[in-house]
Amino acid sequence: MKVAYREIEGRSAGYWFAVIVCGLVAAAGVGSALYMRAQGHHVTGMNNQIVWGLPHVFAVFLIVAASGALNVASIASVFGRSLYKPLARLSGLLAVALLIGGLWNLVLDLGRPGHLLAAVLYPNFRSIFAWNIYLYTGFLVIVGFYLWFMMERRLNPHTHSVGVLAFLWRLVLTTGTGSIFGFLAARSAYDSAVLAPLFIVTSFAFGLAIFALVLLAGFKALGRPVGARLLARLKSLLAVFVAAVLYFVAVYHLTNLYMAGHRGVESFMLVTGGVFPPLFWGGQIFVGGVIPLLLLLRRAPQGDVGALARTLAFAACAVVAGGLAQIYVLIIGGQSYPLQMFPGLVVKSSFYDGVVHNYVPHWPETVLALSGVAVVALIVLIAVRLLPFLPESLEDHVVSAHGARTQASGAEGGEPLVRT
Amino acid sequence: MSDGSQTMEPRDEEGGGHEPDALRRKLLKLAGAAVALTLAPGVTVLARDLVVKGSGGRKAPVRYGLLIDANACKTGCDACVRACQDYNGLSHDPGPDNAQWIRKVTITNPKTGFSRSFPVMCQHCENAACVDVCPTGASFRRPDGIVLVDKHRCIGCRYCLMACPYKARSFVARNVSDQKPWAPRGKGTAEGCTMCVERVEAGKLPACVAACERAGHKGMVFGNLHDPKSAIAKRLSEVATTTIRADLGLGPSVHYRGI
Amino acid sequence: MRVRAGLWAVLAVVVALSGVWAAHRGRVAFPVIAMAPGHCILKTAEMRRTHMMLLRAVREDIVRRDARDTRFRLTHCVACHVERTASGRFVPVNAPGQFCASCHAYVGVRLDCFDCHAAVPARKGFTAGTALQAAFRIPRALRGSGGQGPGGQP
Repeated sequence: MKVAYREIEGRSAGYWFAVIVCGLVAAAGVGSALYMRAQGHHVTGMNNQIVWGLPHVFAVFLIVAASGALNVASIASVFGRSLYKPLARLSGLLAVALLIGGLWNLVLDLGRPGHLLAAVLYPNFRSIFAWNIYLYTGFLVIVGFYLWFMMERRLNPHTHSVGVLAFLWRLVLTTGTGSIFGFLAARSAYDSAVLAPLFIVTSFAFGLAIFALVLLAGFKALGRPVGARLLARLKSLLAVFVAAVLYFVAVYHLTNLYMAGHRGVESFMLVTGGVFPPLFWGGQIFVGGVIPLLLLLRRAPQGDVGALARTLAFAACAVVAGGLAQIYVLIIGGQSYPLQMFPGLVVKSSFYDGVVHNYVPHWPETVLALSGVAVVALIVLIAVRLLPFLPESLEDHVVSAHGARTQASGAEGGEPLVRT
Repeated sequence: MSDGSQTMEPRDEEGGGHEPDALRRKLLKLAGAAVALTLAPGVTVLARDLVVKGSGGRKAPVRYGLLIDANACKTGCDACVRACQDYNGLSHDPGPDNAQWIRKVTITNPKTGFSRSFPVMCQHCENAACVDVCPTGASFRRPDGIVLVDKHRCIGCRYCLMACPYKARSFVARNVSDQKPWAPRGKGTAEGCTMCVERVEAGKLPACVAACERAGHKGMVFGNLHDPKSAIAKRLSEVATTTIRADLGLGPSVHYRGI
Repeated sequence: MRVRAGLWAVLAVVVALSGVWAAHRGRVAFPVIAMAPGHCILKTAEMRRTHMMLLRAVREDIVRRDARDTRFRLTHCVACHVERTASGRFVPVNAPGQFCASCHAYVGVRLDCFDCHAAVPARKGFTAGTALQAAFRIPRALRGSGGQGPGGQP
């Protein structure tokens, strides 16, 4: 049994509608960035207290999800679980698209994007940000090669090595993203090494959830079949990842609660801090953790593919929603809590010292934040039309035959390419 | 292949990927490589510290610093803040997105009622967090210890605003057109107290220190911390002083008395 | 196919309209360069080609290496080349038609120095006279290998 990949036709009204909507939102994001550039950031809700806002929430979410989306490919080619192999191409594509979407937000929010070349000419390697610039671009290049090796028959034998490199790279990349916050000793909510591993498990969950959503939506729209076997696997994998995120979140908060000096920020995040406790308990923990776990761990009726797909889709949606809440609480909540310049003392000044900061996203940055998501969708929509990323079928007999170990001899036979 | 569908033979190119032993070995190897890659940035940081600072501990001839006496600083007096705004062309009535290179901070101990009011500005740290996090080196420390933003390199990412524990950095969020020739500042870049670098180079006191002196409070002393004969070095050797958030180990050049 | 043809048509229309728009705007005026009073630091042709390199080199010295006694400074450029209105007020050098702006408009190069730097001299203190005095020391230093102007603060 072979896995056949095919480009999508891309002639339906639905396809063009999706492309045009995403294109318009992306263009609106550029317009919004130009407006912010012309007026200055005072037209946004961001200021000297809330330094990073909604564009950064979406950017971090997308970048974290990007490295996680690559996991499906890694499981196939690094750890040899060939059940996932038919999904590897889509996994690589999503990883690239999500990363570009995240960087889109970050770059368009810069105060002086025109100076970006300085980051290449005079990099400061004491800055985790400078490292990230190389980690992100390197990731795009490596995953690009990875995809090429997967799609070009002659290069297939080297897929494993590139896959290993891509896997290592994404681990370091997510560590780098987590360390953007973890290395900030000044702010009570960050200052923690556990943020790096937390970001890594978080990326597993976000990436797989987005991957599952794209897969289900795409295959439904195309009328291509997906079998119960694969869905059941994705379902249990997502459950493991969600549970792991909850564990690391618990470790992070317990550590802070145990350290007396950090109890102030903990009571802010968990009890007293305005919108953040509801977002944490309701959004991050309940919607992003409890609901998906309940859905995913429930035994599905045997052989009901539709029910399985619905369960997975609902759970994945919940993970994405909870994930956005999680990043919002971390980034915005972490800045809302005042800097502890004089721990234990009451601080007052004309510069909002000792005051809990409010953040209300304004239109320009909200449009910019959403445009990053539109860019991701646009890249995926165009890519699957141009190149054979999606398998024609993921039915049980395809993936199970594929998943079984085969005699390698047949593989080298140089089967002629089939045109359809 | 470009337009047609493509088939692929299933293959297990990993040879023995399912054997528990092989998998474990592979995982260990991967983990080792990941650890090595992750540690690389930390190693460069350490190496730089060892090479630059460990070599004999030769001090720079000049390190400008301030001593602020909170006991002498008068509550309600904002002469230093005004002087800074005037000299550097900043707004007198700043809002949430305006800069405050220097501000008066009032601290109160809720248990004892002890209260002090004093100015806080960029602390010009030896191991400045803003310098460490800046991806382009726009945030930098001069040989004489003054920490500045090179706006020609600043990309406006605001990571320094996130990293500074003193809230001493701000971001210019509006078009600026009435800059002073000696204090360039512009939209989309980070900025902070420059210790009035042009005045200092011309042998004058920073504007805030001069204003405090004019107001007759003598709450601020400016000078070369590395010159044992300077007024500030002598004063620091005589009275008990501290720095804000000394626990962070940033090594500020601004010292405080009476807080 | 039809879509592609449509896109080409749109592109053609845009290109055509941009020509009409440009013709309507007319040619950009030839730059008016008011000579600064007194001597020039460098020959005009040389200055025209190299001023951006000089400014960039010197800004590194001034900002990052605290070598502030170099005399080729943007504040000096502004002090000499700024014009005054009849009532004696300074006109910013980046205002339309002024020294910096007219040339930059002509060659179509964005001028971003004055996003941050003052485009007029300070009201008191620094005048064209002191700028000139300082500027006269530059040529030797710039042509030589030193890069720093000799002598101290005037």
